[in-house]
Amino acid sequence: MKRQFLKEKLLDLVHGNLTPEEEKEVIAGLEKSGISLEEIESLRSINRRVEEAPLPEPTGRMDKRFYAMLEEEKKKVLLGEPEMKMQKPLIFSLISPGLRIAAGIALFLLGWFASGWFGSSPYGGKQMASLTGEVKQLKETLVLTMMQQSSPVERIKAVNMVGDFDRVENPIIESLIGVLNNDSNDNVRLLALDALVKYSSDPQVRNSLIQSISLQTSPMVQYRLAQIMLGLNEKRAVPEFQKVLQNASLNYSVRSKINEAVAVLL
Amino acid sequence: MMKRNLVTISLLAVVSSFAFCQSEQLVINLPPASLPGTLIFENPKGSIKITGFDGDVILATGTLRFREAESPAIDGMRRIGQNALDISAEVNGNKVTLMSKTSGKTVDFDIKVPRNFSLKLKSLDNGKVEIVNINGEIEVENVNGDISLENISGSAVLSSAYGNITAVFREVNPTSPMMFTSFEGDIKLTLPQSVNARLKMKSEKGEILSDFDIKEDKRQAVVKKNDNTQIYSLEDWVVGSINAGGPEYIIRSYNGKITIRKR
Repeated sequence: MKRQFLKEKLLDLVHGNLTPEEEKEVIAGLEKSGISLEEIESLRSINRRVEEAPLPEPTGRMDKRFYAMLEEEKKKVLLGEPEMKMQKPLIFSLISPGLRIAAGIALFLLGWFASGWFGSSPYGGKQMASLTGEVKQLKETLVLTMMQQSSPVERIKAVNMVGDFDRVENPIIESLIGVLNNDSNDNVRLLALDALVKYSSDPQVRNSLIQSISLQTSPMVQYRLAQIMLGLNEKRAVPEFQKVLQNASLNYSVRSKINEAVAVLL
Repeated sequence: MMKRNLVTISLLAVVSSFAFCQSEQLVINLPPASLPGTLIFENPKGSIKITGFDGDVILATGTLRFREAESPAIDGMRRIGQNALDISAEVNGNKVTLMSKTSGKTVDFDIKVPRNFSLKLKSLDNGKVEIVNINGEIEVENVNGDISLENISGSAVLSSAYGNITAVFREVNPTSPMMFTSFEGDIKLTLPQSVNARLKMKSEKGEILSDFDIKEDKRQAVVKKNDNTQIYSLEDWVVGSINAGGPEYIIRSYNGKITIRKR
């Protein structure tokens, strides 16, 4: 297949606009040109996330601001524009082409310096704030995508990135809980557990941690959960721990820690 | 729905039925586009040994650990051995998944893979996992047995419940975090002298040893909210940097000793 054709079809593929037959053909073509299924899938998942992201509803204040700006622009057009049109031909007729170029360069340099000079003005603050917000959103999307990656290193990086957020949104918490309960790697589960402990004052997180007790098989994760429940003095964990204790092959040290937890919490 | 598109591969199975060594070898020819790839393998029972070599095929040899008893001739006829092992592989993009059906028998695997390859291995029972001469990302879970890595360049995420973990790195990926966890076993890590990393270590009952100059962070106070009371305690991790500091290496055991050594 031709490259150009593939390029066009790739967009359709990512947006899911292809019939199953076409899809198969395009994927085969892409793979021939060295793009792996994983890359395609990650593109699609990013697209899905972007599409699912909620669009902010315009508020009343935004409306007002918009109309105020519109009025201002109208005034400018009505008052300012005619004068400028009058002046333009007069100025330009007086200047030779060489001077015009020199003036152009001078203006460019002036602009350059001015942008450096005013770049740090207080107006920059507001823009920075909105930019920081956007960066945070992007980072969240990135973390959610990385948590789905097949490489454990990427998932570890994602869980570590959660620690950098000041405030953590619900989707991230849910994703962390998903990792704790379903990740194929015990190390990554353990890391997600340690990340979640920070938010254990949130009742939803607390409940998920309790429910997770009977789902874990790694002794390290089980031991850590017993420690955490002791630390939180969480009595509701007792029935879950009793379920775990019924497993005959439970690690000896884990069993004694859980027994200790049950005795203290009861 | 995404249709899985399998790249056709040529499999060549050589069954070598020696009388005393019941083993089977599978040769997997890798399409050039699939390098460097990832090998995914889960051995339900038995050990795994992986050796990196300068080639572009995967040679997987499975050997029954316990020889089947030679059955006596019946009415002058010998029993013709049927395939004791069933090894197969699926190549999907640059992912190679090796599968083994062994009906409960212990099978030890010796696998040669191209040197630049990533590994995702799991051994569920009855064996150690050994990896030598690999440049890539290594993920191993061996619940009951030891894990040992030798002459590795790249990164590793290893965990065991009862086994010891030994890992010797020739080089590390400067941006990859690593994790090493064993509940009951010792963890021995050998890193290049010039490694830049931030270590986070803890062993509940064991000790921590190192010949690196580890600059320990000041321990942070941890605040736990407990209904109405707040509990303050010192962070129970040993956290410190080697050289300039870098990605986080988390090394955690319950009963084992942790050793971090210079290469």
